[in-house]
Amino acid sequence: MFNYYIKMGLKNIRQTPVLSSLIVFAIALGIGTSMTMISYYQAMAYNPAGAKSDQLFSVQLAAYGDDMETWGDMPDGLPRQMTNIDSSNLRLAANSFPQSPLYRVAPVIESRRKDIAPSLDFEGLMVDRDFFSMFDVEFEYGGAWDASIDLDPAKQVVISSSLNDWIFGGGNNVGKSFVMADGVKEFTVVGISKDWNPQPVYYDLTGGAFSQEGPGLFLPFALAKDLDMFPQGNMSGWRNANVRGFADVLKSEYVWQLYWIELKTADEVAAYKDFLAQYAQEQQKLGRFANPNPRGGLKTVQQWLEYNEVISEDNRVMVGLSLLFLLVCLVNTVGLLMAKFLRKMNESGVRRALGANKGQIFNQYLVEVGLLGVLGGFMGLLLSIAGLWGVRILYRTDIAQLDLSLVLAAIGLSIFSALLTGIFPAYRVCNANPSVFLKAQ
Amino acid sequence: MSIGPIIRSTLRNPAGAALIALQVALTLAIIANAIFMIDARINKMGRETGAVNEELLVAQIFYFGDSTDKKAQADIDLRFLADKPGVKSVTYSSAVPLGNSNNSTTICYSVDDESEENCPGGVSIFQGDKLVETMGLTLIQGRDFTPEEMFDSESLNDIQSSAVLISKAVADLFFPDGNAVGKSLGMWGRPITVVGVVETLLRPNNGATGEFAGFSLILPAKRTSGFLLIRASSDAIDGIRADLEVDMMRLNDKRVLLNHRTMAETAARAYRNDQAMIYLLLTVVGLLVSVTALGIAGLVSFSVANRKKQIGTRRALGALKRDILSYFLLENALVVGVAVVVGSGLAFLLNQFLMRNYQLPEIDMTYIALSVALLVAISQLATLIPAWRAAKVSPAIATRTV
Amino acid sequence: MLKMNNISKVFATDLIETHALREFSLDVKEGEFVTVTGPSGSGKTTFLNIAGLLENYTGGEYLLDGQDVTALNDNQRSRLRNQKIGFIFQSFNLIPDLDLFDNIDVPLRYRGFSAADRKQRIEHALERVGLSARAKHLPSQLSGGQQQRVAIARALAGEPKFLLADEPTGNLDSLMARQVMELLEEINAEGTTIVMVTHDPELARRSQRNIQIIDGQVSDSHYGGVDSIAIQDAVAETA
Repeated sequence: MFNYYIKMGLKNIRQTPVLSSLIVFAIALGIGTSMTMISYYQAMAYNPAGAKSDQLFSVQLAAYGDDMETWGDMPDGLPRQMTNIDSSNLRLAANSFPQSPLYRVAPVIESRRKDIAPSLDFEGLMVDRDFFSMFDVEFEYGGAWDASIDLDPAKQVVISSSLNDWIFGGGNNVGKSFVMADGVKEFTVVGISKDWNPQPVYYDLTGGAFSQEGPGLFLPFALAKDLDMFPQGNMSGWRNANVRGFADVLKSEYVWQLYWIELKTADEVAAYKDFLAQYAQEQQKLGRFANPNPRGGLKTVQQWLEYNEVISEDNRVMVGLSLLFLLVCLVNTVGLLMAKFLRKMNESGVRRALGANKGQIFNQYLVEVGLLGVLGGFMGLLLSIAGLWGVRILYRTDIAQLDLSLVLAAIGLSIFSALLTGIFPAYRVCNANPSVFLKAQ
Repeated sequence: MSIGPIIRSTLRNPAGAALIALQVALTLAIIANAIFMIDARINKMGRETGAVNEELLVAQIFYFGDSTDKKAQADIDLRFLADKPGVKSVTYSSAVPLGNSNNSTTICYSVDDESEENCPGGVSIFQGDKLVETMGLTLIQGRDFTPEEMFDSESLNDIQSSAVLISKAVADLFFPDGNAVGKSLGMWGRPITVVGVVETLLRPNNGATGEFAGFSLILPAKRTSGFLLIRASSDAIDGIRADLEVDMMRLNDKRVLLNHRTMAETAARAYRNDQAMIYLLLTVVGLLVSVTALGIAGLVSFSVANRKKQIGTRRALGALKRDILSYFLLENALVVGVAVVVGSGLAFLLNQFLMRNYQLPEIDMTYIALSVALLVAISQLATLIPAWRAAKVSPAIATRTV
Repeated sequence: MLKMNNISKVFATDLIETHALREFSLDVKEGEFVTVTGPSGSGKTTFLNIAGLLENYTGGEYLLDGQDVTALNDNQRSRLRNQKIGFIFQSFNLIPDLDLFDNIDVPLRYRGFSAADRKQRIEHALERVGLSARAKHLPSQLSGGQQQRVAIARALAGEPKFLLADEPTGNLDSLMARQVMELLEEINAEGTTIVMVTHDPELARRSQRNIQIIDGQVSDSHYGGVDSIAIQDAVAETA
């Protein structure tokens, strides 16, 4: 029976080419715009941490004083970043959880190739060695620096594959050195990582959620004092302090670093939460954290992404608007379907006279509508490919792409909404009194 | 005109009219808000930076290493560039409007009290010598800095002389009665004195909207790196920027020159997302209007085809062609009339929703009125073609028996 | 008042030329009740359309109430139709979504009468055909005979010069057909000219004058009479 309905449906569609094309086009437009915006939204909502999302935690501390109730506009009143004092304390605390502080620098790097001007294009991340395993950074050659370097720093770096090409022209250059920062200091390459650029940049969202290129190199956090390089990201303070140089920044109550920790089990999470609470109390006794609610915070990657409002407002508005547009297209489709089916009243009357019941008539026309939905879905997909191309150009981004799940979603949404629009018209057809339409008038 | 019978007959067979009305109402609600948003973005992008955009070239200079005497080098740089043909003024600055590198802090009425009531505003800080002259800012009160007030500083938040320049937005906030010159404020726990007020100085960060976008303050701290600002006559700029990197490297190669952009290009970059949003919204508006127009044309066409006998009868009973035409136009006008009332209400509701969940201000009646006019015009036009065909139906159809 | 002189109507396509009417002449005086009969394809419908100014003709002249209609444009013909002719169609042609009041109202609106004037005419017309009580009903709520009476009311409301009826009883059963015919005869007795096209020979016999059309031409014209019908009825009753 279903095959018969499909056969009849296809025949009917062929017999009313203009009306059917208008319907397919209306559905396609609505689906196309919606899928374009939804795809873009998906890309923005992507959680690059994958399986580790529940095991990686961003650490926050209520590092402010003066009886302030909250800091800034985050919903829980915590600052997003922490002070160097606190991150230094935390990383030296007695536990064996993988963890790392993090801040960005912009070093001037000199190439070993001839006649290439120094470059400011490669961003550096100051981290502890645990960072690489925590964030699944893979290596082409070599590996991270030894754990001892985190305590007793040496000028060792991990460079990205792109930076490796830029400095040396490629190849295994582990053990070689290059000049950075002040034109004098030499740094030794201990590892060359594959280019790593998760989108969104979940490990550091303070400079915008999406970036064109990932970090070019990773430096031991312990080198901070020696390097004397100002952080690239966001720096804020709950009160002002005179800051004349980087040394002042390190000692100040300004927050400018991120802190990540890996906790694999619920017990570990509970244990660290206790530790943070305790730490906050201690700091209050020492005269810092002079606020009514000294506390710490732990957030999984997913929570961190939402907390930082990675999905832009504009994107959310556009998803809403395109769904409303889809609604208008569907209302449009109902009208066109009514027009299409009213011509079929005659045939439906004959079928009823020949023994079809209401349900069979209803099903037949619903199947026809479903076919239109499938056609509309495919056309809508083509439109969304074009739409996403436009979005990529407008926003200068690469992240807005279609993947298989979105393709299936498009077809599914199209069939579903088409069927929704078909219910009323099909109902009208199957309920019409057959005798009325059997007369010649 | 026979409105009564049209209303009564529509009420008896309301499905087609209801569909058109629903479409028009939804479309009205959407495009009123979309046009409102477009206009808001256009206004945002049209904001004055305060600088003379066509004459300003902005580059970024970063040193590596400590070997350079930055102060001396800065003097050499500025003197060299000032000699170039067409150049009116050159300086180093810590920030530029829409330049994305933002240093902001709160300003208080007095030094001792740092509570929220005493510190109502936050400003972005610009540090540099001759900023008024180089950016082409407009002084509306007081004066520019004197040479004695200028000090050298590489720090983020050093105050060595208490003189500051503020933007009019800040002056209006702290001194609403008018005169800000000579008045004192507190910043970073130190006293500052307003020596002059500039009309506009847009903050470096693009996100700020409304009056907050113009809260700026200038410190008389001379910079030796960061943003290199070159003010030159607009036809000389291309020549200057073509040679800029080479020139600056030749003067000192222990540094990197990053980006040279005109102020206009800087603004365009800052507003890229807003521009994209405008295009997306325009696309949605265009598609919506087209779909609605086609939908109306289709539904009316169908209605005409269904009522051929009736049209022929009317003609046989004496209707002129234009009576038939106006019948359908009037019928559509009545349906659309109801739809725009409902749609206007929906537009307000949608706006309320957008206001509460996204940072959209309250919609102005003009946008709704404009969208109403647009939709009425479009729907009448869409009805015109099928109505025209209806008018051509021959009266002889009335006597046919099939 | 309806005078046709040698009207001819030719339909020409690329391949065929059809002469629907040839040298058709007719003179209907005021107050007459004339039937035009003929088999299918004889040209009855073409005659009807021309008489009703629904179609134009190829040759000859048509004088309606003394006025030559040959050179009239579409608007002028519509006006004339509206003012001088009352149409009654075989399939009633009432507008389904309008109630009886609004249906009768339609030609009056195109006439430009005032609202008060129209109301009076409609109520009078409904009363004349005996359907005042059902003014707010829809056509679908009426029987065939009643619908045709509404159509007659619609034709009468504008006080036309003559009624042009196209098979008015064609879609009715014999009882309703009788009632409609009696109504038409009453109206004619009150002075309204009636031209009726029919293929029913019984009706032809009832009318005062019958004109037969075959192949687009007048083939016969004779006078009948109401009296003959009355005698037949009397005979049927006593039987």
